[in-house]
Amino acid sequence: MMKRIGKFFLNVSLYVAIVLGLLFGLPRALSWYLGTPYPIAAITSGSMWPALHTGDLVFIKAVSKENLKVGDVVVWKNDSGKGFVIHRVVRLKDKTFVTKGDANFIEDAPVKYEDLVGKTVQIFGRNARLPYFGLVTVYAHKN
Amino acid sequence: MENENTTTTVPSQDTKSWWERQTGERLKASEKVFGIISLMIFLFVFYIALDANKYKTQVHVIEGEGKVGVNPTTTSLDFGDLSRGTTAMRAITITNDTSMPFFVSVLRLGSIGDLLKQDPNNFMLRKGEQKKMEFTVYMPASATVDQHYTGRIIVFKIPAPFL
Repeated sequence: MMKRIGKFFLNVSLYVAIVLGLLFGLPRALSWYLGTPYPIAAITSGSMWPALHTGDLVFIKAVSKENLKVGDVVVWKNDSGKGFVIHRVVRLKDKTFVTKGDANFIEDAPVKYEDLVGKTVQIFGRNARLPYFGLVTVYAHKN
Repeated sequence: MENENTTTTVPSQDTKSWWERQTGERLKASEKVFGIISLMIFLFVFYIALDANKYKTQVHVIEGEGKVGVNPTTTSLDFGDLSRGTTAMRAITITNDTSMPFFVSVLRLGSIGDLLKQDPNNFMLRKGEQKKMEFTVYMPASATVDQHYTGRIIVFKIPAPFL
């Protein structure tokens, strides 16, 4: 009996360790691999439709000012520093760059390069995205 | 010498249940309960899916600015012609004329789903109540001119007698 109980607790501990490892280890591993403290982003609005859909989860990798190109989909910190914006680069300047959501009619205000977080990871020329995986964040954002 | 009649009882094949004949094993009580609960859940989900109201939806993107077409039909949720940057609204009124409250939840499918905003969604409708659901399509700058965005709106009415 004691052997069975011991085996049960061993199994539970193993599963908990695996789940915790995935929950905490995976973001850290991604962060290290992609070179940014924010390696994953959830799409909470339709401003990048149809390239990105509300509820998508995308991967972000670090990008330097020199490697940034017009057409890249980038993430940047907004003025308040509380939120992030994911839009497409439409113009590059010396000290700033300008972005616009594909679905928007107007461009965003110029963004300083210091506020750039990274750009989306591409696979076969398309944004790597996990549909619906960001819906929890979308729900939390609304409430 | 007298004839002696003896009777023996032989288990008949017919007394066995269908499950027993197929598998050679009798169903345990817990398995029967599990089977009945599974069947009830299936029938409940089947009823909700069958009872749901299904509407075809579509919108056509046209050239220009601020142009809004007319709704050509009342049988489907047709947003007509819309140019980029414009909005069209359609409404569905839902009435609970049953004897129990139900929970209303709407599922949007198809390419129009991303363009469609709905208010309200996921709400309770008590006996005799009526509610208007508004569906709004906004045509973004990235919509392709002359494209038809289509889809379906499915309105589920889930019986909720204990809520």
